[in-house]
Amino acid sequence: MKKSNIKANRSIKRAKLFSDISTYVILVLGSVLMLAPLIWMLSASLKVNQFSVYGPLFHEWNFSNYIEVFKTIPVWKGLLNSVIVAVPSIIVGTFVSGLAAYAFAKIKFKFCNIIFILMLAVMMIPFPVIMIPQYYIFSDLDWIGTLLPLIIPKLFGNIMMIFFLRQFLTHIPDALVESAKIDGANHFQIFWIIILPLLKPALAAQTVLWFIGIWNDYLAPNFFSAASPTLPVVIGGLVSDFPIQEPVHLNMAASIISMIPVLAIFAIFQKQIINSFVLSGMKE
Amino acid sequence: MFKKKWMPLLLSIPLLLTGCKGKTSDSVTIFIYGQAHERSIYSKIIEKFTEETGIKVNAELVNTDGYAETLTASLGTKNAPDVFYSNPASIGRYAMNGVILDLKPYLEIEAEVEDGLDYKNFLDGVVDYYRYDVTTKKRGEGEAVWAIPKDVSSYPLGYNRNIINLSVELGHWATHTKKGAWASREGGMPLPWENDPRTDKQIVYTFEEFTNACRATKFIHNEIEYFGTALIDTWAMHSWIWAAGGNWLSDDGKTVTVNTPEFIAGFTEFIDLMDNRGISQTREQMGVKPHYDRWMAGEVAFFNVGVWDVAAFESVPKELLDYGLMPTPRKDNASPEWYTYIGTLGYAVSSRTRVAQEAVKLALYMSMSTESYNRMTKYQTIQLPNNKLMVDEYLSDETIKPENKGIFLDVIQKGHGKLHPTAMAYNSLWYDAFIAELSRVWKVTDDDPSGEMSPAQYAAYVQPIMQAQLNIALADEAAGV
Amino acid sequence: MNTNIVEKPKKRKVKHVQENIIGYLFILPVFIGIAFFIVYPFFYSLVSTFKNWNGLVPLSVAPTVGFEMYRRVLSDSLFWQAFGNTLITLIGIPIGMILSIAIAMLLNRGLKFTGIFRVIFYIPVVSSITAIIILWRAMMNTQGPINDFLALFGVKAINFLGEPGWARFSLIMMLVWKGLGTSILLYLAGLQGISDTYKEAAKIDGANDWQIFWHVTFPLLGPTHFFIVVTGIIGGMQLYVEPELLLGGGPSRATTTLLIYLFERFGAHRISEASVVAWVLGVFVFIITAIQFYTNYRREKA
Repeated sequence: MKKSNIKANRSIKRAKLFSDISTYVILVLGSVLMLAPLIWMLSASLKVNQFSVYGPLFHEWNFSNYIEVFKTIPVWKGLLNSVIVAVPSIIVGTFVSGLAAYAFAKIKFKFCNIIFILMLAVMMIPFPVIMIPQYYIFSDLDWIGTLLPLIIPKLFGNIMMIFFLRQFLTHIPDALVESAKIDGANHFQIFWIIILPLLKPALAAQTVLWFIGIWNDYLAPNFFSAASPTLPVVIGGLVSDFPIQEPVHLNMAASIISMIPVLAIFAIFQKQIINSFVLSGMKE
Repeated sequence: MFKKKWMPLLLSIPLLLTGCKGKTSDSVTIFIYGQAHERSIYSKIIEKFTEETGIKVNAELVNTDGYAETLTASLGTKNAPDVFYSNPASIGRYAMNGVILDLKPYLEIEAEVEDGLDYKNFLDGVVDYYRYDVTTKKRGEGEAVWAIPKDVSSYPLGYNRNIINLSVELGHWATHTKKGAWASREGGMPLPWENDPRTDKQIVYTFEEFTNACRATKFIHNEIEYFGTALIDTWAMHSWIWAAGGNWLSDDGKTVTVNTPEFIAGFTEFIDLMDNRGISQTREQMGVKPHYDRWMAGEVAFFNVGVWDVAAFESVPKELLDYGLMPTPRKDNASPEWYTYIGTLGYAVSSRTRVAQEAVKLALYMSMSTESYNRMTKYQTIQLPNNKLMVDEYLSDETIKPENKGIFLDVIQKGHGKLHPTAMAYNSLWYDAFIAELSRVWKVTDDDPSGEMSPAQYAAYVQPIMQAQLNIALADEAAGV
Repeated sequence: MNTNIVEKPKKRKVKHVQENIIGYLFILPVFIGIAFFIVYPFFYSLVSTFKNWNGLVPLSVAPTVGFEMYRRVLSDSLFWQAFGNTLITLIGIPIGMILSIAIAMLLNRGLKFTGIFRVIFYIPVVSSITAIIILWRAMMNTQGPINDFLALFGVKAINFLGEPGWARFSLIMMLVWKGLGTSILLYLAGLQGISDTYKEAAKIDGANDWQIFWHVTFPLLGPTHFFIVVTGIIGGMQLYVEPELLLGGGPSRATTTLLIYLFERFGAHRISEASVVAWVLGVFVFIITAIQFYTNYRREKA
């Protein structure tokens, strides 16, 4: 009896070991595929000229490429513009979205469900449909070429964020709100004092994701605000600047520079971001 | 107290948000594109302009990508720049919709002003590219001048002297070119830079003679493979098609004529040259090392040279690439005509401008001034001289390469050029359709019997598509939209 | 006593009205934003499809032409070519789904270092798209590292960017590579939401691992599949930056998507036609999404 148990245990253990190892092998392989291009990019960014880019990895360490990039394209300008767009949009837009999400989730006002569904429908309208008229609207307002077309609409909230925050809020018991009301608080106070702190985990993830989306956006900034380029537009300009004999080494350095801010933020907040996918309850 | 401290900060926020456009009401806004090195040159010319005239300029210099969309959207609104690029195709639409000014009155004023630039000094015929009669809807006609030419360029062939000399040395030249008219001539056909004894001018090869020249220069020597020619279809084929007597549009501009026998003859000749005679790279080889790269490595005997290419070609050591210019081929001994395409871009002025005269002054300066000549032609050859008065200096200036650069101008001034098809109609979408699927005629490797379609089949296939787009353009033009 | 009974309903009514007002107030900014920046342009764009508008004059001045613009676009073979090209890129969605489910399942085993792997897979997602495009352009060069790698196996250099078939392949590859991280996280979340009792029950019934996956896990991931496919199609139909910067819409228009076609018309001052393209795209996406919602609703009812 005992012997067969031990044997069974051992073969189960072996089977588990085998599947564990194969899991690791596949994951490592996958990671290599994910990271290999980025590593190549790093190596290429340190090459002396565009011809040795295709040589062996990390044979040259020409850090002056990075300085050269700052001299060739307006990296600082792009960086500044990206920040000017992202910061106000997120600060105000998140607040507005939070208020709206709270209203949908906790203030059961008339028609709130219908309005919510309509709002979701609006989210599905593809950007190209409204992009062209938006241009002429912005043009009448004299906003073209400035960063305003990128900032102002975002100040009015982000539908996707409202959706996720509302989902999150439905998990918070109504009793909390009710008891606060009985204590005499109005909705704004409830939102500001009680709800906002509770929203923190969801907010952290949502705002960071929104930040990354705004930061990496190319289409709208290129279309509305090419005169005040954000970072992706500045980098994107490298593609057409040298159609023949591309300075690949400099392009790679420029790309790395543009990725650093986002990667840094991602590295800091990655726990929250990744957890938010679980929190938002895709199991619905 | 509180207010004083924070006011400047609060007031500066909108400024920050608007991206500090820095526009003053009396400055001229110019919105143009260029590659990085071109943009820095434009900046310097603009600086000099402000220095000399005191007129402030707000220069928005961007790269090519996205220029069209940004400009399109801004025209007709109050954000339209004062000066911007326009080509002969678009001025028709702009003129009819009233978004650009008829510059003639302003040009006349400039011509009278002391030290002013006279637009009549542009190279012959170039200003006509920018005329458009709004009532008859005919290009090149009418009194009005809708844009000031920025540059005119042509696209002749170039030869690699090293390869040809090598070919002569090895005897290949004589073997392949001692035929036809040159059967009895010592050494075969005259070399590309030599004169034709029959005309006493630089020789113009016929289609057949050019093929022979390419055969003579396709060989392997000292482990280097040389190619006769390797041309970029979309820019080069025009020479063959026009020399054969064909054209993309009928004379009245209403029919797409790519399926006429003459067009197909020139088209087929060109494709045969590239794919079927073994004198060029295979398309597959081209994918690995593009034609341009091979020419720059000194491995191709004949390649097109555009005005803008000169700087890059000059930078290659002479042992690899010692090049000169030559005419593109003519059809046969009975037809002396040879053609390259002419490309041109102009400066248009928005009808909403409040500084029309200053804008015209700026455009003329960018185009015709000595400063612009120095920076864009003399020190670095980015474009040809626009000003007739500079031509002699240009031709005799030996520091400006290449030596026989006169051919560039001959194309424009002596009738060896035709406007690029994109300028032939109201817009160029009809022509884009021709280029779009051109690769279907290509033969990819030597093992393939042919391309997916023959040139004749492609022409028959693409003509209706092109015609549909042309009809749309014509309809819009007729409606004045 | 009488007064009390009369007062109560009034107070409740006032309270309700007050609640409603505050509710509406809270969503007012969002509402204004949507109305002004989305709904108004939406109808503006619809109107423009019935006129011949070149953007150089105000929309009100442009001549009304009925369905002429629709006729132009829908009879243009290049439009359908762009449509087809766009649909082809959607192949990346199922490819991505298969890869991400596999990886999510491996990550779900909870082995050590799972956290690090999760981050690694997500890095391409957060990277700037223009940077990624420039990177892939350099890598797919005929002299680039990918061809070098293939050469190790004796494979001849492939012209990834210059040959129509390979160009499409490269585009799809890049899109899959970049989007993998998001799908993996979504599936991971979905997997963690599946109660173990289902799998236990299946095991007791004698199912092997594959059967458990196919009959239990996969179906229970339904909502995740749904989300990924819906967002994938909405995003995929609007593909612009990637094919434009990576390949210029080529070679030979092999990767010219609907949006690239749209911008061509826009640049040629054929604004109405560009709007028509946007609308056709929008209607198509709407129909597909509606179908998906419907089948999903039906499936959930069952």
